[in-house]
Amino acid sequence: MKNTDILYAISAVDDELIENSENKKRSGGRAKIGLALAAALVLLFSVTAVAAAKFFSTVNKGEVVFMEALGGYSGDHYSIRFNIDVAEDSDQFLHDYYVPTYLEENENWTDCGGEAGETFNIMVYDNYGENLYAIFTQYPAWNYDNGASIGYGVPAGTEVLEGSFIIDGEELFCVEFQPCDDGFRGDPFGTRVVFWSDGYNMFLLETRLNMDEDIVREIIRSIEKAEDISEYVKYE
Amino acid sequence: MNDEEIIAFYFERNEAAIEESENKYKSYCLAAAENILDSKEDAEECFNSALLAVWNSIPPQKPNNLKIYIAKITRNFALNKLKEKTAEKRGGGKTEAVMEELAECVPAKENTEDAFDAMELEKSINRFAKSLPEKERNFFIRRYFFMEALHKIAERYGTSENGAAVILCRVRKKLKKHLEKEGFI
Repeated sequence: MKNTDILYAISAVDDELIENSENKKRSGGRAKIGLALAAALVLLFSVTAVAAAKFFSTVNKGEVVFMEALGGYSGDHYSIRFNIDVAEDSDQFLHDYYVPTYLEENENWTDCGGEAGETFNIMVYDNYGENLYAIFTQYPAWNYDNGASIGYGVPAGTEVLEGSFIIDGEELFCVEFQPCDDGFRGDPFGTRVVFWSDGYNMFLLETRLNMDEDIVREIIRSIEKAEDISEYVKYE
Repeated sequence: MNDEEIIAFYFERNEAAIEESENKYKSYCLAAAENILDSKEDAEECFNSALLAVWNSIPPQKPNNLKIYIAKITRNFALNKLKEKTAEKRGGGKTEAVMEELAECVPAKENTEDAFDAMELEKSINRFAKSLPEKERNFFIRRYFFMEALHKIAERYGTSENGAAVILCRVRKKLKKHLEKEGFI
C-alpha cells in the first residue's frame, strides 16, 4: 500500500463528517453550560469528595502515563483520569495532555471544551453515566500555546516544572476541580484539589475552596510530619 | 437555488444544473484541488472535469450532499492530475508534505505485490474517521481530505500551528495502529 492509496481512500469518508469539519473553533459548549448552571448555586454546597489516587509520577518523554482517581461523594462512584501522553520530539509537547482523547475513548466520560488561554472545562460522567462532573482548570502561561491542553491551577510565583509545580521542594500536582451534577453540588470557583507524590504513588490529599499557596504549604508540612501518608488519603 | 432543485435539473437533463453547481460550489471545490495541485489552472480543469462527471453520474446517482459529492469528484480528479504531474517531475509542493506525513502510516518498505482491496480500505478509513474524537477527526479531514496548510487549520480551530501539528501527529499514530489492526499493513 502507498500513502497515495490512503489519500484516495479518504475520499470515501462520510459526507457529513467532511461537512462538519468546516465548523470553526469549539468553545466547550456543554462544559460552559455546566459552569453557568453550577455558578448559579455557588457556595451553596461544599465539596468534600476526595479520592485515593495512584499515579506514575515520573513522566519521561515518549511515555504515556495516567493518573486515576477513584472515589466518591456521598456514596457516588466516579473516576478521574488524566492521560498524559508525552510526545517524543518536542519539549513543548510535554504540556499537551491528551485528556480529550482519553475521555472520548472511555464511553463513561464525555466532552471536552476550551481552547488555549481559556479556562479548560471537562465534563465527566461517573461510571454509571448518571452524574455529571466537571473539572475546571486554568492554564499556566507556558501552556497557552497548546490548544486543547489541560493545565494546572498554579499559584502565582510558583515554579512550574513539566506539568507539576514545586513548593518547598515538593512536587505537587494541583488542579482546580469541581464536581457538579444534576444536584448542582459544589462551588465552581476556586475549588482546588492537591495531589502529592511520594515519587511513586500519587495521592489525592485535599479538596478545598480557594486554597492558596499557604494552605498547600501547611498540608505539605503536615504530610512531612506524618508517619503514614495513608492517613491523609481519605478514600480508598 | 437549493440542492434538490439543482439535482432535479440533472435528472431533467437540464444544463442549468451545471451552471448552478458551478455558481454555488466552484470556490469550495477549487480550494481542495488547489491545495493538492498548487495551481489554479489545473484545479479549474479538474473542477470542469468533475462537473462533466457529475452530469454523467446524476442520474442514476442522487447524492445526499451535492456540495461534498462534487468536491470529492473534483478532489479525485486533482489526485489523478497530481499523479500525472509527479510522474513527470517530483516536486516539493504542499501535497508532497502531506504524502510524507502519511508515509508514516505505511511500511517503510513498500511492497508493490501487496494486494489490498481499495474499497475495503475506503471503508476502513471511514471507520477510522468515525472513531476519532470530533476535534481530531476535523483536523484529519482538513489536512488529508482538503490538504489544508497547518497554519490554516490552526486558524480555523483557534489553536497554534504547533498545536495542530501535535494533534495531527497523534492522528497519524492512531491511523497506523488502525491500519495494522485491520490488516492493511
